[in-house]
Amino acid sequence: MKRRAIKRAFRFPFRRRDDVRNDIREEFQFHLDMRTEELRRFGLSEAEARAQAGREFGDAGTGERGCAVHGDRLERRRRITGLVEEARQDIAFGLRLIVRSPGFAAASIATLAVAIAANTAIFAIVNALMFKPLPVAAPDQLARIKAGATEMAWPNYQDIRRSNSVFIDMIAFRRLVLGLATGDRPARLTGQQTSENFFAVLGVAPTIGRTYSPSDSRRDLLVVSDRLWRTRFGGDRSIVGRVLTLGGRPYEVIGIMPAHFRGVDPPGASEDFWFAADTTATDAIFRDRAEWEFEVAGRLRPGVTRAQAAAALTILAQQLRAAHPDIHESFVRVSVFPVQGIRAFEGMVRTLLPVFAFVGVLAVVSGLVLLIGCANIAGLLIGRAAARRHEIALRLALGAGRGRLVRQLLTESLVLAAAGGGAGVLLASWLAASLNAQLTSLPFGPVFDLGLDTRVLAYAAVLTMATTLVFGLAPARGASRFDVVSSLKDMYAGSTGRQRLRRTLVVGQVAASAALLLWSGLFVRSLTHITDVDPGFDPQGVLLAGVAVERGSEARVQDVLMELQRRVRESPGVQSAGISKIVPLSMRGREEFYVAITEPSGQISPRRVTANTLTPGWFATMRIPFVSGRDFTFEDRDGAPRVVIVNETLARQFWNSNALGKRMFQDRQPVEVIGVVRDSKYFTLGETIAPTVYLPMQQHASWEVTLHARTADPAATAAVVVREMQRLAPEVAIEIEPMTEAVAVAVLPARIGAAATAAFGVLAIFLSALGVYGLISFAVVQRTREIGVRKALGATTTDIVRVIVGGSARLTMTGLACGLGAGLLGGLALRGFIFGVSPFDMITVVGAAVVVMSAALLASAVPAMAAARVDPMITLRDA
Amino acid sequence: MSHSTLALMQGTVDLLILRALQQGPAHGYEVSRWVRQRTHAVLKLEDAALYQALHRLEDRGWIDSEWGLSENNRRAKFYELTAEGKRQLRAEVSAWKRYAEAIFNVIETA
Repeated sequence: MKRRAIKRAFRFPFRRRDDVRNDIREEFQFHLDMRTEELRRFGLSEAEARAQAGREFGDAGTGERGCAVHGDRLERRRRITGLVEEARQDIAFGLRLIVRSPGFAAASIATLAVAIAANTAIFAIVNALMFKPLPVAAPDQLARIKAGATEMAWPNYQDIRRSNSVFIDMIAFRRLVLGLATGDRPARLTGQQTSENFFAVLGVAPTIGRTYSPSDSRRDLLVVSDRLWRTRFGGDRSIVGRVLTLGGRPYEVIGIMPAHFRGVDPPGASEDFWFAADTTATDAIFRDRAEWEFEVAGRLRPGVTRAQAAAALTILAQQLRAAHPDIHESFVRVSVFPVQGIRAFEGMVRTLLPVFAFVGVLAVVSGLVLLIGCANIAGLLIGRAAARRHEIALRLALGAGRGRLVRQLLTESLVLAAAGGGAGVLLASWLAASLNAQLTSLPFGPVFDLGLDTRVLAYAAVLTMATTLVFGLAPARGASRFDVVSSLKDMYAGSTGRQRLRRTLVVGQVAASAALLLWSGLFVRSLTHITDVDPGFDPQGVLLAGVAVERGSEARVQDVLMELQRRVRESPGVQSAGISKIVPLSMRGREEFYVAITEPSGQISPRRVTANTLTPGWFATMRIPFVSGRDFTFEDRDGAPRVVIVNETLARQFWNSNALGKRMFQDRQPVEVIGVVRDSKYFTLGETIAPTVYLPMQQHASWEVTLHARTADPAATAAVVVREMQRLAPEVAIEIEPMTEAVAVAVLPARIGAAATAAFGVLAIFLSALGVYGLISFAVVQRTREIGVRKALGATTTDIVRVIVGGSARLTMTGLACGLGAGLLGGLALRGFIFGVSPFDMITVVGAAVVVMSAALLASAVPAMAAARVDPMITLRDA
Repeated sequence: MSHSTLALMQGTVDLLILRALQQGPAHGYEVSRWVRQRTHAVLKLEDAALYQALHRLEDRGWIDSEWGLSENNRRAKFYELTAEGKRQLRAEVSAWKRYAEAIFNVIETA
């Protein structure tokens, strides 16, 4: 009865359901046989003994079923713990390998970390733009509402809010730029004037203090943003309760909102303050149904879809228009769209297209680097797999399953990838945090919530897993496939299949780095061309003064602006001055709409144009020459015939360059072309000039504008602007900067693009060189005997080097051809960001080719030289 | 003691099996024989029930099993106490002793 204790050296393969049942039956049969035997020894006959044993045993069928329940469960559990145990062994083995070859591991992990960090950081940007939920309560219930694709008049908002049955409640708000009274002159802030239910509907609590609500009768309560609180008030909690003068009116600060709260604005936008609209004021914007001033959003009732809401509101809009015929006909075209995701950018997509394209370029670039990194590690793993042929063959010979072996090799790769991915996420979170901190510490400019959330982490995890498969699967499959016997017999035989895979990888790497180098070359070359690019205007010596005149009637705003321009124009040192709504190339705004023109056929067709609104003198200040016709005068005002100035491109495209005196229709009103000006850049330096119209400001009132002054003494002129503005409208904040600085923003994408592609390009070429080096070293080791024979037969060192380097040169050429081809195609997408350089610039192409070629040749020459110097006698004797 | 055979509670069967395996690894037939000899066939335990109990205990992790060769060179499934099974056996034995003492005291003093 004594037996040795059960010890498991290894488990037998897992048992299926049938196996479990067969085992039970066999166990029972053994018992019955033993008992029968025993009873026979007591003198029973064979038949009697068997019957007796059966009786003692009881119901074998029930017994079998009862046992099988436990057997199956046990087997399932064993299978799981078995897998866990194997994974643990594999991971431990992987870690041992890392420790044993630290150089290889460090190179792979660092490569992966950088690549995954770059990809993760870029995904964090995409995440902030597209996926992060709006920081309000239940943002998916919120919807923005536009009637006639534009803002809504206050009375219409109130009517729709009261009578609709699809929204729980609706909010209205409009953006304001107001001066905050500080020591010397007002500081410019942007914020929102909202309906009183704003915070109640959004369901966001302040971090400090309280928010206003419909029960507040006071209209001088101010809620400020976290950013304003930190940047302007140093995070001082005692700000709550203090009175601030904003736009000339006193407000009491009652609360501070959490960081990144932005109402229902799209990502990137930020507000400094919120206060409730004083609808008791006699302002026309609260009375007039033609004043489309307010953006509207609402919280949908449970179960109501946006389409249903739009349909319901359309009916309301039609009823409203029937009651008030002065409402514009477009009002009945109601659209209801989400406040988050890509559609949050509704109506801004054109403006943001370059931003998305730019993020796309960065994503492609960092993706390429990740692929190059993967190829590198795959190459290294293939090399190592070759070195481990003996070990792997031994495992196979000892009965390890090939599937099991693939799993082991993949787990080793996963250990590497997990280390690289972990380091990458740390690096990315550091990148994102420092970028975030930098953005929010600025008092203005866009803010993105780049904090890493589960989405970003999941992305990084998926990326890491995918990476493992990409670089781990091919070597693992290759390693498990080879013939055991021949591998054990001849450890040194080369494996042509694996060499082919490695060669393909090297070709891919060279191709990707060639493409990257080509792009970084284009960016860098275009940077050197910045000064050569003629934007069509002269920003040198122009001073910009951004003003937003918010208070009072349209007429008063116009008077203030015109008077400001006159006084600045007449001050000493100023040669000319003009006001425009949009500062070209400052990337701060863009206005586009449709005008209608009459075709020669008599048909009326709509045409898309970009637009700017300006005062007389602006073209002279910008030194944009007139091709024909005249500038606006101060007589081109409301009531006078409506006029427009167009650019050459428009004149050419619409009327074959014969535009003077032609008419176009804007909002169904005829407008006459009185002048044609030379083309100039509008949004980016790289853009193709679009048909552009310039409207007189006195016919198209604007309140947020920029004064341009060409001056010999910028400091004196700046002082004049501030002084005169104080006299005219003391509450208005002024933002002064030289135009050269505002325009510098236009070259920012090119700068970042150049920096990013150059950094990635250098990394890529380095990684590729490593890949080539690894491949050639490996090939050289495998060809040691051949080299020995060649040398013994009289080949010189140079001959050997030529043979080896020649082989790598062919690979490099192939990769180069692929990479340059793809790079040139991809370069077309960069058109908007590169200027002064054609995407097919020959110098850049040749430069990239030379760099890639020399890096590859250098990388293969080093091992080739080493091989060629080997003594033929030694190699022949050893082999 | 009456000759009526006692119906066995599940817990009792478990205890008997654990106790049988305390001697060392054994196959099901040995366990069955050990129980029969030690209880002088007073406790009537069907073998089918015994095997279900063995499998249940294995599922619970108190015993482990392995196929091996029996004394007459046949393939047989051997069972062995696990560390947890040994702990369980000690706990159940002491519980049973306390229980039996208590009952015994009641019977003696009555």
